[in-house]
Amino acid sequence: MAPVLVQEHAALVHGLCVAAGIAAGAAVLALEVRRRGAADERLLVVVAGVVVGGALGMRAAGLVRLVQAGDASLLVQAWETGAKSVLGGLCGAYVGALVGKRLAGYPHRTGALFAPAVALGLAVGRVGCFLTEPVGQPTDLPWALRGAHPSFLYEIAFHATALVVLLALRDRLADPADLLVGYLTAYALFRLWVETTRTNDVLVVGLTGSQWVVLLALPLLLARCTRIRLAPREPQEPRHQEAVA
Amino acid sequence: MTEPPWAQRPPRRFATGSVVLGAVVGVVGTVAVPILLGLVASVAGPLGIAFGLLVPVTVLAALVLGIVLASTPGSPQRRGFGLGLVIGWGLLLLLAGGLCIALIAGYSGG
Repeated sequence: MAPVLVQEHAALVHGLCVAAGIAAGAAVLALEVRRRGAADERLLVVVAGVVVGGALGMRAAGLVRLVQAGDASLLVQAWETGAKSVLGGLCGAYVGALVGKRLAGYPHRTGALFAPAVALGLAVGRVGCFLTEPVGQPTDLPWALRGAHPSFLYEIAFHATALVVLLALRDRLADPADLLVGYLTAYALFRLWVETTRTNDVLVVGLTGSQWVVLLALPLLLARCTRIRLAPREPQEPRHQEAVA
Repeated sequence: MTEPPWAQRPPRRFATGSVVLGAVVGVVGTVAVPILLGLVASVAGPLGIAFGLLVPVTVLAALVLGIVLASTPGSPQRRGFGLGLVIGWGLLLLLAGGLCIALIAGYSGG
């Protein structure tokens, strides 16, 4: 059995880490909106769509698994113990953002605003998973934690690195909203690998449910990635020749 | 001198302060109201069943009320409060939905 680091008050610890992740993400979102001069009250409706869609998607992904099992008592258990899914949350939040934009009549893309916020939020929130969920598959690698892959540390490192890259690239893309597309594609590829170090149940053909979701989404994301372009460099202004003056 | 039509800002639809207030009320209300109803149900004897049946309804109350307030004509404060309720409900589900349902179930069970 894979080790779990925190067993007492696990739900509370997990909830506090998720809360910290949401707070950090909200702060980055607010800063990015301000930095880009994108303040618009219609964004509040988009945020509401993201929050509600993310919450429903996160829960629904876990519930689908239990409905398949055909045991109603498991549904209650799912609410009590979590049954949360980051992939479900991301899908739900994406759909929620689209619905929010449609309802509010907000015409602009919002990927540039949300990408750094999501990366930081997930990096912080995953600390809760690291502390309260089975850490990973057994391994004898030198950095093994109690004989297992520290799979959530891999994920925290991925999101932290992604945040640095996103901040470095945020003004260098032709369409900054493509930041989110690039980030989600990178996460999908990473998730495909990191699932092999986690303890999630294999669904079919040796792959977990998360890997199947990623495999379904990946062609769409990769196709969208081919349209990402760097912004053309602005021509450098000729140097002022003080000597002439 | 009045501003030309194209220079006028569109009317505000949501008051930001009300959104924050609504979010706080949405989170607290979604936790507190079902728990209170559960407590009442556990001590109200035969009438307790009626209160108990209301518990699942009140879990969704903030979402439904928020959507109604935010999407119908009204002042920016009212609409903002409604939008905040929706955000608060979603936040609660993200944060501790499982924990809350466990609490409600515990209290309802007496």
